[in-house]
Amino acid sequence: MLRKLNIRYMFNDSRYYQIVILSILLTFGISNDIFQLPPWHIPLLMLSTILSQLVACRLLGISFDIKSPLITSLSLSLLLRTNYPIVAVMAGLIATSSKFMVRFGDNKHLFNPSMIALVICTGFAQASWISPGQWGSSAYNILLIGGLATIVVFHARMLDICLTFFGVYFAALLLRTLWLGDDIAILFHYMSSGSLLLFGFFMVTDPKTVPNARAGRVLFATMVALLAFVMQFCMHIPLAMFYALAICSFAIPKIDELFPAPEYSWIKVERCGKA
Amino acid sequence: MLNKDKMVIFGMSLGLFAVVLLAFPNVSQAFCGFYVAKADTKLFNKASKVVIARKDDRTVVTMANDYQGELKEFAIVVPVPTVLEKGQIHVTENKIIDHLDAYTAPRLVEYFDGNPCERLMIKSAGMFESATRGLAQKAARMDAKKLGVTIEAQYTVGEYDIMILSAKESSGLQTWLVQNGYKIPAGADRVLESYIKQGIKFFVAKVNLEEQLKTGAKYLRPISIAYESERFMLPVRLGTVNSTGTQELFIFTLTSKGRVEPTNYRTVKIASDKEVPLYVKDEFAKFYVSMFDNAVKREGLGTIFLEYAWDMSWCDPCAADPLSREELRELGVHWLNGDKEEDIIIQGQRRIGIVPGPPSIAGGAVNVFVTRMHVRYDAESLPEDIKFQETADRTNFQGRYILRHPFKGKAKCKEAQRYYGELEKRFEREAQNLANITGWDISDIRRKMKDSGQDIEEITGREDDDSSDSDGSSGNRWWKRIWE
Repeated sequence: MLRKLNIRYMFNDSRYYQIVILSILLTFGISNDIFQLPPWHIPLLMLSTILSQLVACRLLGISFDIKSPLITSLSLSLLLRTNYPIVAVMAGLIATSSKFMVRFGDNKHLFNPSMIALVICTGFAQASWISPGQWGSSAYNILLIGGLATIVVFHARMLDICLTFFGVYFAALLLRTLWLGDDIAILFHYMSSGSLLLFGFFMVTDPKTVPNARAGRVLFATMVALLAFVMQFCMHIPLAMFYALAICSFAIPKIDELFPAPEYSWIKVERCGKA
Repeated sequence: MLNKDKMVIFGMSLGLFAVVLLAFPNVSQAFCGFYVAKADTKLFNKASKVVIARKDDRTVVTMANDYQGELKEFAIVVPVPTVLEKGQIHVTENKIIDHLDAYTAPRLVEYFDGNPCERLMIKSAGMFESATRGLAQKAARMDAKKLGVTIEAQYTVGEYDIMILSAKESSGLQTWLVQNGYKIPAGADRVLESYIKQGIKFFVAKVNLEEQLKTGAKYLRPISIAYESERFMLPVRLGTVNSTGTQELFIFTLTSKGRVEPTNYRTVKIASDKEVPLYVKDEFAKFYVSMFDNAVKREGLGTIFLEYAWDMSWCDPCAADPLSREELRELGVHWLNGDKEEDIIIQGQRRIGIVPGPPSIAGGAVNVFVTRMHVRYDAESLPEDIKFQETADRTNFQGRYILRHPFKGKAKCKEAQRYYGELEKRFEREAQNLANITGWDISDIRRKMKDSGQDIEEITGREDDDSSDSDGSSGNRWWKRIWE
């Protein structure tokens, strides 16, 4: 217990950073009326995610760590919208169970838990939605979300996937804008969308659900960016990026096979010397 | 050791969980209302109204036409995703859109405080009607082939001559349009080019004067187009190219699942459920305009404001009669089959609508959700066309402003003291609300309140009353006792 409270120890696990920053964004969003959440929204998401993780860990006899389910519930709080408390509960259960039910390789789960919960709840349940426009588009978004998020991503050593995703998406968007002859302002409008930034910084970069090797990650990010682009601009699907991530996740086992590398560890072992 | 901790946490969490679930049941409030007053207005200049009815990919777009110039000068250019058959184009009536406008407009409700010694409340409701005006452009005719413009189809529908055009390149299209009298300004060819490359066609309409005379109407009627497309969007860019100032747009959507919102712009709800001073009743039009001006100042141009989102089978209070099935069908609600079973609401809160006058929805409930959005924009703030999505959100929202009339009689009981103390606080709160919502000067507001009779001293005749207030409420001017 004492070791867990060691501040030095905390600096080595990027999940602490992510929890803090997601909480900041959530608080900012609520207090600035960017979104209005029913009072049960956050508590139910947290309870269902954390409790289901707890139950699963006990059943499987593995140690329970609150950080991952907390991050999942914070992501869901930021993105999931519903009028039904039961959907919030379901989302937490789906997120957790996906981690334990859909696995491959040695010890990896296939889907980012919050992403798959969002995809299932919005795609199939039809009782929930995501509001991609809620953060609007502004330089402020880039500074706030991008700035804070870079800390997390840098620490988690996921900058490669993050930069690749935004780079490829931007390139595709730029080509499209030039081809159509649109104003470059449209480009900025798209790239400063809060939802895109949240997705690119936090969801695509989940270290546990991306390929192990750097080359694999770059390939994966490219696939997600291109598929998201096609789904959004050719198929006109508003929530394209989430679906794109879900679909591309199926390719991760193959990518890991092509580009083998050690699995990601939350703790920077080399930094502190001890696990 | 850890097991026990976890069990305790688990148990407590479960308990909390149960409490949380029970603590937030769905609460709906009922309210009886009837009309008190209508305000006739043409408030927002250069405002367009569009109604979009959509289910799955089937879309009907109705463009209201408040053009008031010379009829032969009228022309519009509308980007559409597909070539339309004659049957897909329809001319409808302005009054239906006006009806929808009135139904969804911000509204006033009035409450009358009863005698505080008796604790009665009588309620009544008011309603406000907003009207908007539209944009219009010019039109005439000529040869297209040379300019790479193909006239895909050509119809006369109602009083309009309509052509569906596709083009190979925008300069040709622009030339053709200009030559035919459609005023397309300089920068527009870029936007046209963008549309052409995306495979979008152009729907152009001008007035057929002979047919128009036959209708006998003084004003042009709205045009509806029905099509099927995965795109759920509103092309606004053409309109922004030529305008120097800002444009105003009201978008009404009729859907089956729930509220519609833009996916590429921010949505903000207008202020609602606020108590305002009584004199606002006579200035409601000004209030609405100022409120919106203030909201735009705060949130910026290009923000889409949600003014109404409601299940159309009921209203509370009703600002207008609900739309009839015929009217809804006319606006493109194609999923009402006239069969009661199929139109039953599939989810969400289901309440009996309390509607003034004779029931106008024949055959029971309708599965239609209406969203009213209002945006003020220019080319810079709305760089791309608005793309929408239909959410599963059936939460009802309306712009509702509350007038509370104080009790005017003489109340002389202990309750009354507390009531008047509260009243003064309430007056101040109403003044603050109004200042926040509209940006009007607070001292002006206070003065107007006094002038209109909303004066705590006048009401209580308290100037003569020196009795101390054990509550210590703010109405007690104790210094008068020592210096006067």
